[in-house]
Amino acid sequence: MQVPSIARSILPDSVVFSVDTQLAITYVIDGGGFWCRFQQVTRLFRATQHTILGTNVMRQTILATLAFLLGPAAVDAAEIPNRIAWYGSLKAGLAEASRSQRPILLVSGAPHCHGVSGVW
Amino acid sequence: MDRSFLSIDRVVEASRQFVCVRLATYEDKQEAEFLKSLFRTRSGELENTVFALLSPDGRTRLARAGRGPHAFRSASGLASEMNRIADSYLKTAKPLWSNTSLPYMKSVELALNVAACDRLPVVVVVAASAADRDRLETRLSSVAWSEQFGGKFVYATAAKKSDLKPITKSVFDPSILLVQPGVFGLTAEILHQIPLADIQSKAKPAAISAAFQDVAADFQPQFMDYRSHIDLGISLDIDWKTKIPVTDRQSIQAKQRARGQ
Repeated sequence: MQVPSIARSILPDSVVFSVDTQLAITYVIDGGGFWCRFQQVTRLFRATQHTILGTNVMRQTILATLAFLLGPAAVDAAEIPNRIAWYGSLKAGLAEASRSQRPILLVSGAPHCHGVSGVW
Repeated sequence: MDRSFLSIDRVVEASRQFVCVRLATYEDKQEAEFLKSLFRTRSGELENTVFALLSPDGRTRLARAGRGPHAFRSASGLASEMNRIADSYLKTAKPLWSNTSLPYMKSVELALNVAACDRLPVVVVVAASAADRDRLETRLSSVAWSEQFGGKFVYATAAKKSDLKPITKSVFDPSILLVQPGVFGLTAEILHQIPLADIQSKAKPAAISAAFQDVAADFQPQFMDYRSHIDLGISLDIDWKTKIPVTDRQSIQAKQRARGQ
């Protein structure tokens, strides 16, 4: 996972991202509820980047702030509907079909679209 | 994936008489070769989706294979054909709920991605040793393949600490984790952790089913509409790395256009 261009545009070039920091950014952006507060966060960073950025403590503080502001989007809870019970590998599926003598429903799909994960 | 067919109740009901296998298209070379052998595309290359109904040994096509189930015209047509095929195996087939092996994805990372696509929670069996994994699976399989929970979770196993890296605040102890994937399926948060000790405890015989019940009843999937998802993902430089190269030309060109390449 590379540092997202949005994070790069917000933070000054002098900030060096560790692997853990990159992962922390990934946690934040993957958490959902992003757009609604993104402009607000951008303004916050631009206002502060020339004076206080650059230390590990400050980076962690910023990431924690970002995580708080961009917390997961609230979606109404609901009972998960009935779904097809899929085997995720051919080997396991064939083994089960051989054992149970049931016919096979086989489909394949790419769990990414335009390279973006999380969508068929 | 074709939700217009495969999420319809009649098709889900008919699927209980089949072993259902859904492969991630570019994540395994041998599987890709198998998929290519089922359906010859115009380009001669493997394309993003394949659909087939096969005999139990996987060698005989029981209906015409294709990119999707649209040859059946409707979900009802597909369900009827599946029921007809299943009837011919009725005498020898063992029921779905007799399954003992868990339907694992190839990795935690892939399971999170697929679960994000499906808007489902993920069950991760965490065990460094085969003995611990067996103990966990023995207790888990009857719940996983119950009528109540079958198909409602995506499964993965973690044999080493690094497998859990995408899961926030995870601890590598023998246990069953129920986690919620993020929007892009790159990370996850723990909803429940059931330690091996609890699973083996006679005082907590229903520890697993209680946790499954909680999650199945209150799961809050995180998702955006398709366009927002793609736009945000591209602007965040998210680029899923497949294990083998994508060979669907239309898909490659569409990605290049979307990313301005």
